[in-house]
Amino acid sequence: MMRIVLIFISCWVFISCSNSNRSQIITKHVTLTDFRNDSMELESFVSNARALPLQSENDDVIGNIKDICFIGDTVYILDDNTSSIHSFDIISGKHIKTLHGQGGGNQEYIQAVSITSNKDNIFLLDPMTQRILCYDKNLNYIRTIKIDFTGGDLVCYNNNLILHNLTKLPNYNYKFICLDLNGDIIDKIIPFKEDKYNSNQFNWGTNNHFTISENRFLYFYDSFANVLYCKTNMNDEFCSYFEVDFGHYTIPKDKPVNSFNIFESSYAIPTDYFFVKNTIIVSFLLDGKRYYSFIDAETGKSKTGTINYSDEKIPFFPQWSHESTLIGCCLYKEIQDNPILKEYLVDDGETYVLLFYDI
Amino acid sequence: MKAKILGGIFALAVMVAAGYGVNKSMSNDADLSEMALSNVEALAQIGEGESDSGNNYCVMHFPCFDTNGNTTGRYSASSYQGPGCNKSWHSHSCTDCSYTLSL
Repeated sequence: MMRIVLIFISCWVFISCSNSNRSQIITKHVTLTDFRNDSMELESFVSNARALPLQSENDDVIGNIKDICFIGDTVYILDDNTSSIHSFDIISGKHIKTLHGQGGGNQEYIQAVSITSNKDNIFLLDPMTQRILCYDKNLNYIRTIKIDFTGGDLVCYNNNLILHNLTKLPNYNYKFICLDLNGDIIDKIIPFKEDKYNSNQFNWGTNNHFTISENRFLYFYDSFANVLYCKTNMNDEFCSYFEVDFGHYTIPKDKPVNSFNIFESSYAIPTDYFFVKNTIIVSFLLDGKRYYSFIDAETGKSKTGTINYSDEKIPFFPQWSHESTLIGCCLYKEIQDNPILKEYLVDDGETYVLLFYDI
Repeated sequence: MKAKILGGIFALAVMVAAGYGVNKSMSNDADLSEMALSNVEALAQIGEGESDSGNNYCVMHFPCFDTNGNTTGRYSASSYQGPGCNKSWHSHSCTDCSYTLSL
């Protein structure tokens, strides 16, 4: 009898743990107002900038950087144009390896959209085949993780995989799905809304939905959303960490995002969030112009505006972060006269350059 | 007798779990031909067309930015399988796009 009771209790605990319909708490709320005509000097928040030209030793040319990730001093670059992964040593700038993995084989991918890493492995998301391909740090194929939904973005956090889910399915009615490294679901976060915010046939998209702070907290956000969620541990509940109010530039709640050209609208459109040195950095568009808001995570004090550029300044458009550094990219020809490139010899002006901004 | 019954239940549970694991492992290495490979390969190319596999496809558009992060008026598009969508797919790199111009 005692055994039956124990089995019943175990089953109940197991079922209870799989239910992720939990309450959300907005912890902080920031209102940004009167920023339309404001601007900021790059030096006021970037203490140092470095450049890394991505020159391969063979004929491989990087066409468009879709995503990047790191293992130690190695940066891995996902090239959208050739669907290849390139690895570089970020200290020496030396090209290490290129993987051309696109194809129809079981160890190949059709269209890679995101890469992420833990300390030993690279994970590549292929939404076309609904699979995650796992490689070692030398870009040798290891195994495939099959998923049953279409992911649009991927991050590895505490040896679990979190995907941004593009499609609402009966068993996957959540925007973020957490998997273990075997592909088994361990959590589902933020249910899809039953409305026009998720148009099935036409969607606006953004590439990034995750950022990890220096203290290894995971922050994530839905496309164009003004709420930044936080997860401190895979076993902990997630919380709505920060909500940014753009005042009268905020997209109205009853306005279908997919019904207008959001990138040319007069609404503030958040595209990326970063969390560096206790500062939340919101990258957003207004009237087609790029604005940034630097928000102190403790006090909520913020500074918002466009960036002022002078002739010798490098462009500032971070798309990724790594530890306390924001990372962007541009073509060599766009900054070839800048002093930060003086130690490099680059032949081809079309060479991509990674830009590291220390905040 | 009771111990034998419990032992049998335990053995059955182990077999079911092992069978599930093998099945899952095999499905992970499933041949891509099961996924209408020719169709998804076409989707990865630039262009547009109609699905001939019976699958429905959604389209997602991404803005293309200049070096300073400002919009350029051009968009890239990619298609992916999804419920409630239609048979036509639409993929391209950064360009003017009739889908977005109609908005």
